[in-house]
Amino acid sequence: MKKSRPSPENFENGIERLEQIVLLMEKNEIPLEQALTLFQEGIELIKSCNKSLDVAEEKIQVLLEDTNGEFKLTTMEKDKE
Amino acid sequence: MSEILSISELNNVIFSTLKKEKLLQNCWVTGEISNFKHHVPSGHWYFTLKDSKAQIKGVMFKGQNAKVQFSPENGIKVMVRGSVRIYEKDGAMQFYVEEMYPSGLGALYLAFEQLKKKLMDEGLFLDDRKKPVPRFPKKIGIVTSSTGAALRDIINVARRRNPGIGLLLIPAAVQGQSAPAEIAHAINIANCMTTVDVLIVGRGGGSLEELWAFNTEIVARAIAVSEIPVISAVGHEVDYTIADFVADLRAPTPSAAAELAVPLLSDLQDGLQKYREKILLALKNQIERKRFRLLELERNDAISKPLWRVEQKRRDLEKLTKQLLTGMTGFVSDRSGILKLVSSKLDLLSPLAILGRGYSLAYDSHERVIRSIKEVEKNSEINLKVYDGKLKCRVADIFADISNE
Repeated sequence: MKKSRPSPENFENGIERLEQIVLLMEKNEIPLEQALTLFQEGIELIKSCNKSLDVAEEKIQVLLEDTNGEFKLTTMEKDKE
Repeated sequence: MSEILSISELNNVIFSTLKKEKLLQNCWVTGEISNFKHHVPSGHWYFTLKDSKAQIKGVMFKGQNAKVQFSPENGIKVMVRGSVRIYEKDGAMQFYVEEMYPSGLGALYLAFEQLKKKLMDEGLFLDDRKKPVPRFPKKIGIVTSSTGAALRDIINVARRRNPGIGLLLIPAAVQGQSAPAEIAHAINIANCMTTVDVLIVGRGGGSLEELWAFNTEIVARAIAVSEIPVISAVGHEVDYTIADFVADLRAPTPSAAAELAVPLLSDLQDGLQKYREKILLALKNQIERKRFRLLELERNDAISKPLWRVEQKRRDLEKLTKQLLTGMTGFVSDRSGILKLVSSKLDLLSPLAILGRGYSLAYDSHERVIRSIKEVEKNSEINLKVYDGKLKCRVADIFADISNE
């Protein structure tokens, strides 16, 4: 089995943890203090996940290699998009 | 009369003449294979190349034929590069092949089937080799031609679904001779030099020949070893290439690939909203449960007033004490009468008075009162206590009273 690359830290891990928090809070009765702590953590996670979605439109990048085997990362010209 | 040549000289002239003709030293030729023979110990290939009107004998030595990407069969058309030479010893003229490719649809299909079987047997198409495509990618890599329609389609669909998604193009020719190597190279450098979360590899629609690069072994292997998940996006819905079989996910078109790779921004936002609602509700429920339990406890006296029993007892005690006090005062005022009665009663019950009336108390040698004949043996020593002293006696005889049994 090949190993897979690490996925984007913020969003994916945030969703995983949110899923966990919901499970914990919906399960049985938990101590009030724990419920409040989990709630707090959940709200913070939702805030930061929403923030990471608020990314502005980026230019399209192009990876070019010249004849010497050197790489250059450029952006695509506007008219090509 | 001109010169008379020997056979060796004749063949030599032919040899040199051929050598001088540049075209014959390196040319591309197309023809159909027949009389194909794979010579076993040497590994050389011997065959005939022909078209409808003519033919020529051909040979491809092991060193070159090992690189051929398919196994030629009689009847299939090939495209070969090589030279024409005469073997001086026997005057036989042959086409010495250095490169061979399948040509024409029949040959292409054959090559396709052969490679498909070979890679399938290696297990490269197995489901458990396929990596999952990331659910929330930040950046998408695209391997395609910088001028083709596929790139435009992918960009449009991706931006529409999520304007903020990162896009990185690694350009490569998608048809022609250089395409297979360029595509494979692009996949490799994507793995080494970029941080994309998923790769879309593909091109727009075309004929089998135009899509051919995605049926080559070099591209298939580059996809197979890619650590970045690969979505293949070649041609139209009906086109299936070897790249599609090896990829971690197949998309029927480049646009579809963008749909598979890029989650809808609105879906992500809705999902977060759902989580917010869920945890809010969960917290409310947790608090409700606790509140309910508290109410129950309050209702149950036994627990809300843990000292009630003590209270009860205290109250009873107060009542009794009051009764006793009133009783006592009555008692005290009537003291003389009652006391006289009580003292005379006591008198009657006093042990001394009983002895005075003539009764005696029998004791055994251990100072225990004897109440029954069963406690005494004949000839044993007993003591008798009378009003004014003690008598030491010996049991002469024992008689039982029948009425008392």
